[in-house]
Amino acid sequence: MISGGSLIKVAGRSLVTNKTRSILTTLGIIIGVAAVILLVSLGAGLQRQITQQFEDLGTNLLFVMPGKFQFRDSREGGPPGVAVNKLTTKEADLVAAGEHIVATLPIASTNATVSYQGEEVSTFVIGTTPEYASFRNSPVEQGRWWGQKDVTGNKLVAVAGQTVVEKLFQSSDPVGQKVTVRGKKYEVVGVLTSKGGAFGNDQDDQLIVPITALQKQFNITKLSYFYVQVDSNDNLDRASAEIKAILGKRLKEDEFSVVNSKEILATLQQILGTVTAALGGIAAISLVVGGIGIMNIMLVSVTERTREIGLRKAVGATPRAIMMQFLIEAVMLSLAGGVIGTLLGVGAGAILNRFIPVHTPVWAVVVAFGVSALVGVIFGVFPARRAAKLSPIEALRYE
Amino acid sequence: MVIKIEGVTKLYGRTRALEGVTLQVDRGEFIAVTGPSGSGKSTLMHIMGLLDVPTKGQVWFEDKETSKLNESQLARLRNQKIGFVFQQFNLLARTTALDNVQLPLIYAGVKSQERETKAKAMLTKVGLESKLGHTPAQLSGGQQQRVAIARALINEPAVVLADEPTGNLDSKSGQEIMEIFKQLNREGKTIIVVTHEANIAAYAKRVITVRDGKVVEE
Repeated sequence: MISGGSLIKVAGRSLVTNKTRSILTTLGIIIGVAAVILLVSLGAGLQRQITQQFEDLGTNLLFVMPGKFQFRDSREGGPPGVAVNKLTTKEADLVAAGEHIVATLPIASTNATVSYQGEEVSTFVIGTTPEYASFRNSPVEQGRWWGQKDVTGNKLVAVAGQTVVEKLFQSSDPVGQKVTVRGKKYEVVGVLTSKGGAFGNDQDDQLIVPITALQKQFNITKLSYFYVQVDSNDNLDRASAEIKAILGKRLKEDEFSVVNSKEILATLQQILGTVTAALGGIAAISLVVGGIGIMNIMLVSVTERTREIGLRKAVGATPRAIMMQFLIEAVMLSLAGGVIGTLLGVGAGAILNRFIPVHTPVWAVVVAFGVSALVGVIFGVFPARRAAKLSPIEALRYE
Repeated sequence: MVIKIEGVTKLYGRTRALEGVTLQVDRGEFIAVTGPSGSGKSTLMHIMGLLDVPTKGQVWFEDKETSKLNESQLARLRNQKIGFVFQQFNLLARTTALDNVQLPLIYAGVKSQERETKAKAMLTKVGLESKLGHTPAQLSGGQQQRVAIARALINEPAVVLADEPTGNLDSKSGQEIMEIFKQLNREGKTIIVVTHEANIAAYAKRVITVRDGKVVEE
C-alpha cells in the first residue's frame, strides 16, 4: 500500500510540475481569503473604535434629547428632534436638581466659519459650560479652560480643538489670539488635547465657547441635547425615570427622550455587527468562486492527464490512491491560497491601520483559513472521483 | 502456470472482441501474440494483464481465479505480479527516468531510499545508467522504451506484457528492445509480446495468432 507521505509527495510534485497553473488556480482563493479577513477587520476596527469613544464618555451618563429618539426605526418618526425642540437650559437646570443626578451639561451647537488673519475654517461651534472638560474628559494641553464666570459674564472666549488650531495658526501660539466667529471676536484661551477620530468624525474639529455667548450671538434658545451625570451606574434606570418625571411636568412625552449611552452603543454594535457579517459574507462568495475555479482546473487536469491516470492504474495505483492524489492536490492548492491570502489580508490590515482603525480578530483568520481548506475538499472531490473511476484501458487508449 | 484463461469472451457493446478463447501461459515462456489489427490481440493482452475483465469465461493468475476480485485487488495484483510495456511508452512527462522507474514501487509502499537503489540498478540493467536524471523529452524513442522496460521489471513481476513495444521505434531500436526481452527470457522471465510484425514475433518461442477474436493457430 502506498503511504500517506508518498501520496502527498506525488501530489506536491505534480503541482510543482505545473507551476504557473497552480499559482493561477490559487489566485481565486488568495483573493477570497484576503478579502474576508480585510473586510471583517475593517468592520471590527470600526466597532472597536466606536466602543472606545463611548467608553471615553463614561458609562454613568444619560443623554436628554429633543423629540422622540428612535434609533431603531427612524423611518417612523423622522430624524430626532427636528420638529419639536423644546429643550432649553431651564430644563437642564431642573433635571440637575434630581435626587440621583450629580450634574447636567447643556450643549448648544452650530456650524460656523471661524477666521484669523485671513485664514478661514468652517467648524463646529459648541456652546456649553466649563463642566464639559470633566464630562467629556477633554482637558486643555495649552492655556486654560474658560470658567463659570465667563459663562455668567457672556464673555467671548473659546477653547479650540487641534484641527482648528492647525488650520488657523500655522506655527504661531494661538493662546491669547482673537478669532472671528461670524463677525464677533473670541479670545482663544486654551487648546484642547487631541482626541483623534475617524470616518468623517474628527473630534478635534471644534471650537468650544460659553453657552451664553453662543445663544446670544446666534440667537439660539434651544439645546441640541444635554448630558446628565448619574451618581452611580446602578441608578441609571432610576435617574432616567426621575428625568422623565421632572420633564414630564413641562413637556409632552414625545418632546424629549432620555437615552442611555449603553443602549446607543448596543444598537450601534448590532448594526455594525450586521454590516461586518454582510461584508464578510460578500467576500465569502469570492471564496466559493475560487473553489469553483479549483474544481474547473482539476477537471481539466484530470482530462489532460487521462493517460497518466491510466498508466498509474496499470502499474498498481488503486482507485483510492488516484482519488487521494487528486484530492490532496486540490486541498494543497486551496491551503496554499489560504496561507498566502491570510498573510495578504493581515498585512493589508496592518498597513491600513495607520490611517483608519483596523482590528483583525483571530476568529476571522481561523474561519477564512478553515473555509479555504474546506473549499479544497468540497470542490476537489468531484474531479478526484472522476479520476478514480477511469478505467485503465480506456485511459491508456486516450489520445 | 502463470496465466490461464478459459472460454473468455469479451464484448464491447455489440462488437465481439474475443470469442471463447482458452489459453495457458507457463512460467518461463516467451510468447508472441500476432494477428491483423482489430483481431482482438490487444484485448487478449488486457485481459491477461488484468487491465480488463472478460464478459464471459474465467481468468486464473497463478492459481487465483480473478473474477471475484475488485478493482483495488486487481490493481495490487498488477502492481506485484505484472510488468507492462506499451507502444506509446507512457512515461510521465517532465519526470526523470529514475522517478519514472520508481512509480510501481511507490504504489507498493516501498521506502524512497530502497526505491532509488532498485531503480538505479534496473536502469543500469537496460543500459541507461548515464541517463538517470533525463526526462522523456531528453531521450530517444529506444531509450524511452528501455526506461519503460526498467519500470516494468522493477517489482520483479511474474510476467511482462508488452503491447506493440516496437511499434513506435525504428527497426534498429526495435531489434535492440527485442534483444532485451530475449535476454530477460533467458534469465527466466515470462514474456508476452503483442505484435503484428512477423520479424518481431520471430523472437518468441511460441507464436499465437488471433483472428476475429479467436485463436486460430499456435
